[in-house]
Order: sequence, then structure tokens, then C-alpha cells
Amino acid sequence: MNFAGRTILGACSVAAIAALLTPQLSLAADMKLGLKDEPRPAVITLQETEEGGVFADKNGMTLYTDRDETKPNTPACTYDVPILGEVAEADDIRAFPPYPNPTTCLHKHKPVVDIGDGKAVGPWAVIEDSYGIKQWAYKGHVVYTSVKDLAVGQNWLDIETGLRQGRKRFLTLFAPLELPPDITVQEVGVAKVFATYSGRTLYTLTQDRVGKSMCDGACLDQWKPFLGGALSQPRGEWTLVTRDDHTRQWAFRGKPLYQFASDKAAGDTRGNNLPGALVAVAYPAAREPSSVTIQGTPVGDLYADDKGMTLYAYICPGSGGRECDDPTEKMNWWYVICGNTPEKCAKEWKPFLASENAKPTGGTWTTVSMPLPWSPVMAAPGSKEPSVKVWAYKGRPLFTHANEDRPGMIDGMDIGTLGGPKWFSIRATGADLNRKTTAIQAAR
Amino acid sequence: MKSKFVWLACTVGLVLASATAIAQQKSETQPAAARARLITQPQYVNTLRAIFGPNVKYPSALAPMNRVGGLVEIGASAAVVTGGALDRFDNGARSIAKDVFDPSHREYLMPCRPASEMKPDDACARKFFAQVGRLLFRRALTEKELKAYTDIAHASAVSLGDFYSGMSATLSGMLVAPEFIYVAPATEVVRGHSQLTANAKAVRLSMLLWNSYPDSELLTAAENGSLNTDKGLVKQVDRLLASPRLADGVRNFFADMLIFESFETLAKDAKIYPSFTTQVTNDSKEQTLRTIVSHLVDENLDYRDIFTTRKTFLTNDLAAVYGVAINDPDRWVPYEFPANSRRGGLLTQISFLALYSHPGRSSPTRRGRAIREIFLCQKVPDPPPNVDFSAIENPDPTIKTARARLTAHSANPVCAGCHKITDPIGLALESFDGAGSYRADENGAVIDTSGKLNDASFVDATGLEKALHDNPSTPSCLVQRMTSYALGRQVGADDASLLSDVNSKFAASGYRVKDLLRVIAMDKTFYAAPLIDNKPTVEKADAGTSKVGSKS
Amino acid sequence: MALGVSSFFRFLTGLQVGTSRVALLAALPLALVGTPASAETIGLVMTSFHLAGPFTNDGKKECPQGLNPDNRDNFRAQYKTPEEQKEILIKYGSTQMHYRGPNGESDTYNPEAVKDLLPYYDGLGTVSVGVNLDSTKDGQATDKTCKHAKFANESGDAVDNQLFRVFGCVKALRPQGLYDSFITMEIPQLVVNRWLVEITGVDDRTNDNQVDVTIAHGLDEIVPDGNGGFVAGRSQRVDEKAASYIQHTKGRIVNGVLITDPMPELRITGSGIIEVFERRFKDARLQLKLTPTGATGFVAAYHDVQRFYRFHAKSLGLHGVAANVSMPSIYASLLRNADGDKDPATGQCTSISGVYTMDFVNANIVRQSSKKEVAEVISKGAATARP
Repeated sequence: MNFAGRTILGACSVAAIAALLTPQLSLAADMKLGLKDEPRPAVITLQETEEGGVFADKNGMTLYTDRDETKPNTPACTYDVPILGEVAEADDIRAFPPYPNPTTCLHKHKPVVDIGDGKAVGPWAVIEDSYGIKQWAYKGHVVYTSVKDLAVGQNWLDIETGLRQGRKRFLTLFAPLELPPDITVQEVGVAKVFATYSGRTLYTLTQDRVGKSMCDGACLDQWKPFLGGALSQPRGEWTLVTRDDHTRQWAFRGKPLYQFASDKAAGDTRGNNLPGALVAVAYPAAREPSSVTIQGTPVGDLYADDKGMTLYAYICPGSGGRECDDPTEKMNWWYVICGNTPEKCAKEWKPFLASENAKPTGGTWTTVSMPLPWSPVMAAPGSKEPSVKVWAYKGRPLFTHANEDRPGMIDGMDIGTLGGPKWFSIRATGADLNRKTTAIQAAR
Repeated sequence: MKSKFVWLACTVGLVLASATAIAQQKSETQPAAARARLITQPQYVNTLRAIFGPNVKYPSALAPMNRVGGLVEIGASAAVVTGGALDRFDNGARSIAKDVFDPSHREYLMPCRPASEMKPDDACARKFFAQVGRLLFRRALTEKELKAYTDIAHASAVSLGDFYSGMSATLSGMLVAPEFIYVAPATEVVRGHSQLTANAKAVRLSMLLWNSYPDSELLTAAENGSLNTDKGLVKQVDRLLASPRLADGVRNFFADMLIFESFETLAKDAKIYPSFTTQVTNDSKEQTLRTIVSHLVDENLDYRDIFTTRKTFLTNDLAAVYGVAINDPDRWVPYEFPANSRRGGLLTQISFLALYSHPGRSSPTRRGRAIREIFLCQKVPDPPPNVDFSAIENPDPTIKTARARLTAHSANPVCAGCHKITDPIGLALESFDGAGSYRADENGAVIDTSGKLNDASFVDATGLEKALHDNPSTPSCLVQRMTSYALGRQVGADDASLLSDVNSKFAASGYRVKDLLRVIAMDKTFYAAPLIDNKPTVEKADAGTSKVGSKS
Repeated sequence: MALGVSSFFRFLTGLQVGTSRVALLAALPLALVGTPASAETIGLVMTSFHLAGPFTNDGKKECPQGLNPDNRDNFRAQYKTPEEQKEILIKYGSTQMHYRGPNGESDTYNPEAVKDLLPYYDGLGTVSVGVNLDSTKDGQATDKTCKHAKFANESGDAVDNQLFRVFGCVKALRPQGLYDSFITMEIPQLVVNRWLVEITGVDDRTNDNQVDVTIAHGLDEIVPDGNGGFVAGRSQRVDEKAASYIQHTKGRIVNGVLITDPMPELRITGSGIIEVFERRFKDARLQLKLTPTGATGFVAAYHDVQRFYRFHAKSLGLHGVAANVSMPSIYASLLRNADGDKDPATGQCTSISGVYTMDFVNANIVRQSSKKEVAEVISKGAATARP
């Protein structure tokens, strides 16, 4: 290379290093992580939650989409209450009978009807439902706010529970991050990590400098540089670091990214907390209060009280038709399970009480008032009735199950009814990413 | 409509290639008799992944190739693109091009944005094709080619009303162009020696060491002439040898040499070997390749020790067949068999033992033959068409062991000749059944694992592996195979001097495969090409300023 | 067999160098551990779990009056007309027909509130694998146990298995019934069902008068083989995070059968129709016949009736209509057939004997690998990094 070329190259290198060292502006300036630069209607805003940036209505209330939709632009959330079939043939477990004052899907989930001039904007379009009401849809999915959210920055409708994850009907409409095609955001329990397009967790190494990988020789046996292609272009917070062999390694905010050789499947994080390694966490789990612990159980890590006793919340499924788990609703479902007397119910479920000076750690772990005699749903906001202060996860008061007598038990899990509410444990998988390990984890 | 432009792009490619060839014949470097070869599926994926990144749908199977002279790599030089094969290339090309220009990819792969997404943008199109064309065709596109591809993209953008659709149609044409799927080495004469052009050298070097087309850095070294200097060549050879991508090249060579495509048809009787699942089949191949890469690349150890090393890598499924415990059952773990283990080296790995056995029993003959042919480069004749297997298949329960059956079979003088050179070797491995698991006896009878490899006698598999380790044909066979692989042709009597030289250097290095690769990559013969009709093609006073042939 | 040996072996299995069961300890000086050098460890992972008892294919012998009615049948017996039925279903809102208590209480979670009107048939029969838990010959009441009809095994030894009385004529719990089928299917699918038995200090697989037995939750999959079973010889990690489920007892091997000492309590988790729960066995004894590829046998124990009922309620009862069960009848049958832990005040037995058969395949049981190896590599990698 001649002198001029070297000079230019040198100047470019200096500029590149300077760019890497200066704080990276997100593409949406009010977000911690760069969001994809997409057009959106004026009534749709961006809002930060503990789980990531979300689309919100003009008041900042989180928007959700409905997994029950079977066709694009066709709402599945209606005022319909399923009707009872013939008694003799009543096998349809979803066929709820008419009920006085039914609270249907649309009572609990509100579409965004402020459509302005009704013109499509980028991935947003206006559709009309069967009632003739025009509303916004994102990429063919109608969007809703939820009565579960009481304040901006909450996504309380979307809760990660117990054993099976396929139960959620409504999903938070997270605003897409600006990501190279080779990289995705992978849910690992209650955290979100950067991962390869196939979900394999990505890591950074503390020994690396911004813009420079120091991983060489034996280090490469365990840490595999995540390479882009020769044509891969940097964008926003995503850059490529040229290695000694001139391959190009993806980097986030200048820190080179690696896969861990011992991770086998999507969501594996076996490199977590190894010396010198950090999972590339996009959104860590919401920090739990000090009286909450993470307990190993035969179904994985669950949140537990300070004695390791599993915590449970009473949650209704997304389908409508029945008063269930919102404040002011009748607790019929609850009483048919627990025996119709508060005394009998109180024998089986113990509220996870919060001390008087207990403070929420954020929008996910809060304290709520529960009415006395209690039912497992928070008191209506502003209620002056006698109540007790309990810890809540996404607005659901938390309980332990009285029949569990050891830490790490799961007897309370899934007690409930088909089509109605159930008691769910709260998954804590992913809560420990990049935190100090427990003694057990350190021994692994 | 889009197809029309794809085919147009292909046709343009072909026409341009022909036109250039004709022009060359008239005035410039004459292409030598060096073989054109078809890109293999691993090379295709390695190359495109290195260009476009990992998240593109690369085809999982292209046209299968024949094995010639013991290597698929040589078969690639004899491969022709049939209609069916072209179909696969075409389907792969369309899928890749579609991904490259979808909204999530193009933001990160295009060096520019069109002024309007609905209209052609020649400047932006040209910029992209110049970059990608250089990497696909392993040389800078000529002005004529650039214009042709840009024109196609322009026309298709107008017709389809979309800039990126036009780009996609054009790229998919490039991905089936002969310049991409075929490597046709170009030559030149420098100081009286006929050799590959610098670009052709880059290709040959990259295919050997990375099993991929050259990256931009290597092409730059070719284009600026440094690859034609000793210092420049050393720099690139060392760079490629030091890179983790070397593992791709080494894996491909050994997968070829060990005939690993046989795994695709490997089947075991589930009643006899219930733990030999499909996962075991896949894992056993990977185990051997990981062992090889670790031993020969990462640790850079003596090649011959690959037959005796107790170190390997296991998964839970493999461990069940080996009858050992591993500490991390849900991943690959490094594992060392204990010092008194009967296992050590490639011959006692499942990939060898199971592959060269029958579905329901072991086969000393198959194993012995494989050792002769694969590791010693000694041809064993095929059995005659009318061979009598009745002694082998005799259901008499008093004949308990394979040795006993083979002894009976080999009493037939027609059979004895070949079995004499295979069975004494293969019977040493009879402690391992047809799945590769250890067995203490065979049908209740003691297993005699004694045998002989040429003059070396042994009592068990460990002895056999040591005998193989010590046999001078073992390293020389590797040299022969690797040289053939590198040159893309079978080496023969004419290469005696080259082989002798490489063999002695390999020995001097302590039988290090990385050094062997370096020796081959630095040898002028690797880049030599015969003169045509004894005439020089282009006289070059200084290789550093030579014009690069327009085709490579 | 000294615990020191088993602990030492456990430590050694944490090494990366391979171990073979016999060879490893061959090098130990006898004076150091005071044990024969040939002590072996047998590792097992559970692959099946079924209620034991004299089930026949058509059920006629053990259930001459037919299989038991379910909650739909009982619902219709309780609310005799379609109008009544519809009113109740509308009032308490479920076509599952569960809310049959006087105040609409769920029959599943409040079985005392509902009295099924239809008869319930206990399983008949006299042959079962198992153990004589109460040590009586004829099932007569004692101060701790209640009168009940005994079973006998093939050798004629008395056996207690009152759970068969309760469930023998319940379609869902019979072989290949809904519940039994789900349990069978879920054992390989859900890791909550991964149960390990590790027998250490084995001098002789045929007869050994003292061995140590550890039961623990495992973390790894079991893989079907090509023969309709499961691959033997794979490694299984102990779930050390679920520490309270690592349990120890002693036993002996007699004619190739492991017989454990009674365990005051044995806890294992399981699933049924994808609902997870803990099974708690009181006074539990394992008897497992060792085979070349694993083991087959049973666990015999008492089950606290309330605890036992509760987990069946949320898994089996929840699916009442589909599972053909009526939980109030099952609850009543549990109380009626309970034979252990008599409450001196009321005379009601509060636990019930039961035998479950289990199959295992061999497994190499390992403790979690030390992260030391990886940390060393990373440190080494850091040391090779250029300044």
C-alpha cells in the first residue's frame, strides 16, 4: 500500500476508533437500545418497560397483540360470550354459557380507535372490525391496551408462568430493535439476550477492548467469534471487528461477540458468570425484592420467598366471558376452588406479605393491597376497605402454598380449572444472568 | 417475470465468458490444460457464508459428486452440471438472492441505498455487483461484465417496479454463472515457467486451506502482485494457516479421505444394536473430525499419533455406545480414555468400526480393507462376482467367532489371496462389535485379536494401531492423498520427485499436518501448469507487474 | 460399604479423565478405605411408572360390575332433568360439570362437599407385587393400621396395595387409560419425571448384604432406542439445585434384587396430563431386579390420603369428563380403603398403601462438571492474548 493509501487508512482508523469510543446514540433517542427506525402513526408512541421498548398508545399505555387471530387484519377479540351447547353433548370445554354482566375480551382489551386520517403508515394500517369500528393494526395484528396495566411502563398482561409457555394469549408488542439479520433477541426465561439468528446466546469477554478481540489461541477453543460476511455493513450500535485472519466479527457497542462452545441449544447460557465472560444481555430480568429468592426446583428456577418456598399467583386465561382476576370482579371462580369460605381458602394459600416500608423495585415487582378477607386479586385502586399489603408480580398478589413444607416444591402449581383461573408459579429462568452466582451455581 | 431476468443474467455470463475466452485466444494468455472443477457443496456454503453472513438459506445438498482416485475433490474436476444439478444450483441461487435483498438483510449487506426503491439506480447497483462479483468470480469484474449486470438489474427494476427485485434477479443469475460454480484456472508464463496466475493461485490456496473461495484480503494480495512474491505468499499462507477457518479445510480433507459420505447410507440392525441411533451416526462422524482438528490443527501434533491418541470428544449418545460416563451429558466434552483402555486412535472410534461393518455384525475384512486402502494407499481388489459366502454365513452355532468363519472361507484359494492382506489386520479389532461397542467374547467364545501388518505382529487393537503408527506407508499415504487433493488430480509416477521432497519435509517437521500444508502451499509445483504445445503464453519480465489473466 | 468410597467415587466422576466402574477403584489400597477393591456403582434412570395390581385386559375379573362411573354420570344422577342440569351449568358456568357442591363448590377440590349418588366399585383381586407393609398376615386392624384385604405376590407373601382397590376399576388409571398413558408419554418428555437411583458399594450384583442407595432428580433426556425401549448407558446429571430431592438410604441385594431399607419418606416429582406434582412415599421400600441393561421392580409405600388426593385432583380431576373420573367417589374410596397411620382419636386411617411398578435403564450418574476446566481455558486464553 502506498503512502497516500496508508494515510487515508490511518485517518479512517482514527475516526473509527473515535466513533466507537463516543457514546452511541440510539436511533430512537429516548431508548436505551437502538430501535428500528420505522414510521408509525402519530397516536402510536414508544415507551420503555423493564422488558424492553414497547409500542404504546398516545397515553403511553402498552399495546398488545392477540395470538388467537387466525387471519391477518381480522380481530379475534370480540364482545362474544361463547354459548352453552346442548347439555347432553356438552363436551366443548370452551363453550361458556351466557353469564350476567359478562366481561368479554373487548371489555378487558381496548383497540386503538384514534385513527386520524386513517391512512396506513409503514407497517401500521387501519382495519375495521365486525362492529364497524376502525382501529390500528401492526403488520396485520390488531393492537390493544389492557385493563391490567395501571400505569405507563407496565406490561402486566404478559406474564411468564410456570411450566408451559404456550399459554399466553396476548403478547406485548415490543418495538423491534435495530438488529443485523444474523442476530436476534432470544428470550431466556425472564431475560432477553442477544443471540445468533438461530437463538444461540452471544457473549462478550471482559478481556476484549472496544473494537478489538483479544481472544486467541486456547481462548478460541471455548469462545467462537460470531462472524459476519465480507459484505456485512455496520449500522448503529452494530459494528464488525476485523480479526487477525481478516474475518469480521460482529460487535455490539464495540464489544466483539462470541458463542460459547458448550452451549448446545437456543437459550442455553452455560457460559453465564464464567470468569471473564458476560452474556450479551439485551434486557435483564427485573430486579426482584430482597425478600424474594431464586429457587431451584425439578421444573427449573422459580421465584420463591426468603425461605425458598415457591411463590404463586392466581391468573385467568385470556379468554373472556367470566369475571375472574381483575379488581371489583366477583370471585366465583376462586370460591368454587377453595371451598367457598374464606377460612378454608386461607388454610391453603398464604399471602406473601410485604412490610410496611417495602418499596417496589420497579414496574414488575410492586406491592399491592389485597382486600380482607382476602381473595387473590388486588383491591380496586382507591379502595378504602380493610386490606393487607402483599408483594405482587405484574400486579398479581403472590402467595405460598400451605401444603408445601420444603423449599423447591411445586405442589401449588397449576391448581385450578379448565378454562378458568389457575395458580401459576413464576419462572425465574434467566434472572441470574450476569449476576453473582449462588453457591450451588458456583459449584457447577 | 423475475425468472426471465435470472436466465438473462446467466446467459450474459456465459456469453461474456465465451467472448472473453475467444478474445484471449486471439491476443492474451492461453488457458492451460489445468482442470476446471465444479464447486462442492461445502465450498459453496463456506464461500457464500463468508460473503453474505450465516443467516441466509444456503442449500443443504447440491449435485453429488463421484469419487475419483479415492477423493471426491478429484471427482469435482470431472463433474458435469446436468439439468438436475443445475436445478439445484438455480433453486439455491434464487433462495439466497431473495434473502440477501429482503428488508432485514439488505440494510446490512448493501454498500449504498438506491435513490428510490421503485426505480433502478445504476450507480448503487454497480457498486454492489463490483463488490460481490469480485468475491464470487475471484477476480475483478471487467467493465463489460459490470455494465452487463447493471443493465440487467436496470431492466428488471423497470419491469418489476422495484430496485431490489431487479438486484435479486441479477444476483441469482450470477450465482449460477459458470464463473461462480466452476473454477477454471488460468495460467501465465513467468521467467520461462508456466504457472497459475496470481488469482488462480489465490483460489487454489484458499480451496486447500479454507475449503472456500478466496477472501478479499487474499484477492487483494493477488491483484497487487504480492502473492507472486515469496514474502507475499508466505504472509498469506501463514495468515490462512493461523485462522480458525483452517479447520474447515482440514475437516473437508479428512472427511473426503475417510469417505464420510458413506454415513448417509449407514444403517444398523436396531434389534442387535438398539443404542446405535441416528444421533450416534451423526455424532460419530463429528467425533472423528473434532479429534482430527484438535490433534492436528489446535494442538499441532504428530499425524501418526492420531492412531494411538486416547484423547477425543464425546457426546452422551456416543458415550452410551462406548460404555463410558461423561460429565456434561448435554454437550460435546473433551474425553481421554484411561491408560489401560483398549481404545485409542481412529481405528477404535465408532466412525471407523461401525462404518466398516455389516448392519448386524462386525467385519474384519471390511475393516482390514479400509485400513489398507485409506491409511496405507494400498489397493485391495474387489471380490470376484461369483464368490461363495456360505462359510461366512454358516448358521452352525458351533462356529462362534468371525475368525473361525473367515478361516473356513479363506480355505478357498480363490478367496485366500485378498483375505490374506485384509483379515490379519481387521481381526485385531474384533473386540469391538458392529456398532463399535466393546465385547468381551463373541457368542461365548474368547476372541483372538492377534494379527499382523506386514512384518509387525500384535495381539490386540492397541498393537495394530501402534503398527500403523510405525508403518512408513502411513505418513507417505497421507502425503499422497493430500497432494492429490491439493492438485485436484491423482499424483502418479511423474510426481515422484515432488512426493519425495514433500515426504522428507513432512518427516522433518515431525509429521505435523500444518507443516505439510505449508510445504505444499509453498511448493512451486502446487501452482505449476503445463505449457500448451510447449509454447509460452505470455512472457513476463517481472512477475510483480504481470497482467492477471482475465479468467481464473 | 464405607461412605468414604462412594464419596470418593463421586469426586472422581467429576474428573474429565474417563473412569470405568471396576478399574478405577482397583488401585485403592485396602487399608485406606477398608473395602474390597472391586466395588461397583450401578446407576439407573426411571423409564416407566405404573400402578401395580391384578389388572386384566378386559377388566371383568377385577371389576365384575363394570368400570366406575365418571363425574358426568354422577352429575346426571345428581341433577336428574336436563333443565336442572342446564340451570346448574349456567349458574356455575362450566360444561365440565364439576361445580356440584351445595354452593357450587368444585367436586375436584372440595370432594367432601359432594356425595356421589352412583355406586363406586373397588378393584377386586388378590395377586400383586409389593411388600407386607403392616406386617400382618391377614390385614387385621392394629393400633396403627386399619382392616383391609391383603394381596399376595407370586411366592405367596402377603402384600398391601390398597390403591388398587381405589383405582382398579377407574378407566383412566388402568393400563393404557388416559392418565396412565399420559404418564408414560411424559416420562421421557418432561424432565420433572427424571429420577435417578444410584447404588454404590456393590461388591456382588447377585448378593450383597449392604449397599448405599441415592435417589435424586436428574437433568438429562432419556432417548428411545430402536427396540421400543430406551438407550442404556447414557450419562445423567444429578440436579443439585433441587437439593432437597437428593435422598439416601441403605439396602441389600438378594438374588439379584435390590431391596432397600424402609425410608420414612421418599419424594419424587412427576407429571400427569402435564400437571406437575410431588409424590410422597411414606415407609417406602424399593425392590428392583437388576438386569443387564437396567432394572425392573416396584416401590411400595403408604401415601398420605390428603396429599395424594390433592395432586390427583389438579391433574386427574381437572380433566374429569375426558378422564372418566368422579373425584368425590375417589376421595371417598381413598378414605374407605385407607389402611395406614390410624388417627387414634377418630379411628380413620390417614394413609393408604400402594405399589407402583417401575422400569429403569442403566445410566452413568454424574455430578455437575467443575467449571474449573473451562475457567482455566479462558484464563489460558487471556494469557495468550496479545498486550
